[in-house]
Amino acid sequence: MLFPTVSFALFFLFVFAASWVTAPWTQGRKLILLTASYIFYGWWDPRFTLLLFVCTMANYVLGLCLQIARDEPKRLGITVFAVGFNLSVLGYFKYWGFFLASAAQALTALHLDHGFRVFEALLPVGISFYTFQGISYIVDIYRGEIKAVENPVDMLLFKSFFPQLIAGPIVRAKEFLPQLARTFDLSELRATRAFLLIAMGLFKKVVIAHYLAAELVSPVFESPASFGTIDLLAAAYGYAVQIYCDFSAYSDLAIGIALLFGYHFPVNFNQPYRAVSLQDFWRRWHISLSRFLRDYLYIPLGGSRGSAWISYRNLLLTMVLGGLWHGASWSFAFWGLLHGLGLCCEKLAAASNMVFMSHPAWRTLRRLGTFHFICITWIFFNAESLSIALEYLSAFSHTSIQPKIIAPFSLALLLLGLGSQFLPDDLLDRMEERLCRVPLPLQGACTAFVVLAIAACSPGALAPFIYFRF
Amino acid sequence: MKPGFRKNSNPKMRTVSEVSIAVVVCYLILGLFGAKGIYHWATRLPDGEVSAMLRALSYEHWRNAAAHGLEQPGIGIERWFLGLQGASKSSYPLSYVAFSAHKKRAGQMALARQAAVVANGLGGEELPPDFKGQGKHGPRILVLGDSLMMTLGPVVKKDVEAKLGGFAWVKAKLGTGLARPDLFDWAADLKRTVGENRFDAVIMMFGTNDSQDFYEEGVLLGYGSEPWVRAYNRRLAVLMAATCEHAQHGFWIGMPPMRNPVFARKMLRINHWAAQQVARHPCMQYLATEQVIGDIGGGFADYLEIQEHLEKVRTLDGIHVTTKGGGLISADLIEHLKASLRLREVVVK
Repeated sequence: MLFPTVSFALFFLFVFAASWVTAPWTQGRKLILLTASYIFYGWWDPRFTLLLFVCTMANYVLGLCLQIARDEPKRLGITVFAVGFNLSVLGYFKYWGFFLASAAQALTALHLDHGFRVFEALLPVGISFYTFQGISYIVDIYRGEIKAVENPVDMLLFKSFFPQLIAGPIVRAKEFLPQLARTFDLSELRATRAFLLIAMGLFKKVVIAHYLAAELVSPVFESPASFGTIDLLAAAYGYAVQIYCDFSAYSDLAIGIALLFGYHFPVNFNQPYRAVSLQDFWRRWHISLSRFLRDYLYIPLGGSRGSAWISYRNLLLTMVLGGLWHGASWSFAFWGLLHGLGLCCEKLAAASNMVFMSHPAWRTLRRLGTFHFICITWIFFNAESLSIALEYLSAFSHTSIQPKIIAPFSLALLLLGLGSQFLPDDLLDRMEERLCRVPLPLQGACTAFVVLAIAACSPGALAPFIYFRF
Repeated sequence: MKPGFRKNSNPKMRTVSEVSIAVVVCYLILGLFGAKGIYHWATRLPDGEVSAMLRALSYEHWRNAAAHGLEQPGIGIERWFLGLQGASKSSYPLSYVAFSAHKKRAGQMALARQAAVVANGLGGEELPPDFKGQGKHGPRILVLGDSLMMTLGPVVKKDVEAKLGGFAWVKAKLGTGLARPDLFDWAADLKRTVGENRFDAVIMMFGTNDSQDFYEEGVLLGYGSEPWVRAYNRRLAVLMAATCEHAQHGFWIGMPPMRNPVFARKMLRINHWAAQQVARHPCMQYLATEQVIGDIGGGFADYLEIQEHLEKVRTLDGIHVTTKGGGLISADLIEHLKASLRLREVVVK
């Protein structure tokens, strides 16, 4: 069930009504939201719900064991086991087939016999997100940042709450569980913000991301050798805008929908293409993943403590694994490696502390350089294989510059997407403040008309969000 | 400060009852003005009693909404948006800049404009200036279609020129078909084109955008209903009759298998009706694509083995074909062209 569909609109209406009718009965409300979340998840494939349930209950039991355990070796053992369990689930469903295929390929290339039966397990949607949530829950208990949940319904709802289940944001236990524990105040809904986020999310996904993909990005990435330099350049910028609009749209919708149920999710994007460095970019792009990688991988590996080389090693490892988190493919690992190398170079340059770095023009140059570096890495991210990405890059050397595909319409969408990165960063807050003065029923009516206008511009069928496959 | 918010530390909070009223208002407006979307959603539901009831209810609601003019704002925005896209493409300032650099080479420029027009689905509104001289010694082929033809057409054109020494003129238009002559009237265009120019064969491929309701003489016909099928068959017949009147041969390329099972079923029905009409027109031949670009059972396949290499034959949307996939359909078509036009393959250097 996709967010921008009639099916979801009807589903939401029923769940919204049922959840608020039962609001005074906290446990009942949670059970309704839990049932709705499992129906939402089972819509893709009912078998997935069983896996989600098993993973959640395993984390629940292990969390309680960790809470009860007193001596450190036991606590560490339980933590390692629980993290290993979550990683094994993710590894089996997402990476086992890929690593077997890669090993078989390597052995074949070396003319060695292998008895591997290469297979591909069915990839349950959102598995990367909810296994990471499980890891953060266990590690936070181990660190003493939270207490283990005693109510299994809370745990089940934390892992399955439908707005964030499929493609994040990766909501941490310490952010969400306290919200579940409190009694609901029926006069605390930030509806204007929710309506704004929903309208913005729909526009970004249905209009910008879809049309950029259909009119520019997909045709060029499919056959890069057929296009000239201008088209290739436009499609590379186009993909940067497309993936931002696609993914941030999902986050906007998830945050907006959760707000209507009275829950608050963390911000996941903050105008990432205005970043002046890669480090800055990762503070603005998929913030919930960046925080996860920093707190549960980079810092436990040693972070920037120790020698410079150890710090570089940790950065590279974190980014390569972060790349692989997106998908079982060497092009994702390479994408992560490029970001890791870029971050290492930045650290190296920062250490040299050269004089010109304080010049204001340097900041603009850095912003441009960062954006173009990110666009190049997106080519590896979007290409189905490394060879296709290399084919794309080598196509730039073609002498033809004649544009075949870029039209003012796609160019306008491209500029709109890029321009949005440079709007004042408190614009949403200001819009919310202004709109708050409008009576709420009128706000509902305005939202409906905006949705209708977006629907009129929408294609017959909408592609799923890009991050669904991760 | 709550997670998720940056600056607005004192936002205006609303009560559940206030928000509920706003949500109800929002849904009422969506229900009233979005009747068409609801009906289209109902048509995509799996077959069953409930879905049949929903379809009937939403259809009735849509008709009532249309009768009261509630559809007009949506239609207005849709037309404006389509116009915006179309106008944007036809203006082509960037292409113009690139083409102007080649102004001295007039012949090359004409071909480049044609290629750009075809690649972007606007169709060739005018023939290349040296058309009369094209295909003097080989067949002259007219190729018509919707977005599927946008990748297939250039491959067919290349094959006709390289393998048959002929000339193919490709007219492909995004989002068009037989259901919406208000967007583009293929029947009128075909009659005009084949009436004014000599073609040995006409190749057509339509259907991707046809599984929708349409107006016939002011009456809205629901997709798949009996009047709809009759009207659609009439439209097919008009195209084929015009082809047979002016060209020796006509080829109708059937829709390839589709990834989405519901959409695939709809395309099978379109293929069935097209094949029925082809049987009634002696000059026409129906070319099925299921065995050409499908798996062993004729079902959807993303990848196929071509010359011992696994090649991607369908695009990400599971509807369109890649250049490799287009190559498979084109190769089959060329064989049929050779047999029908009694041609031998030529080697064009």
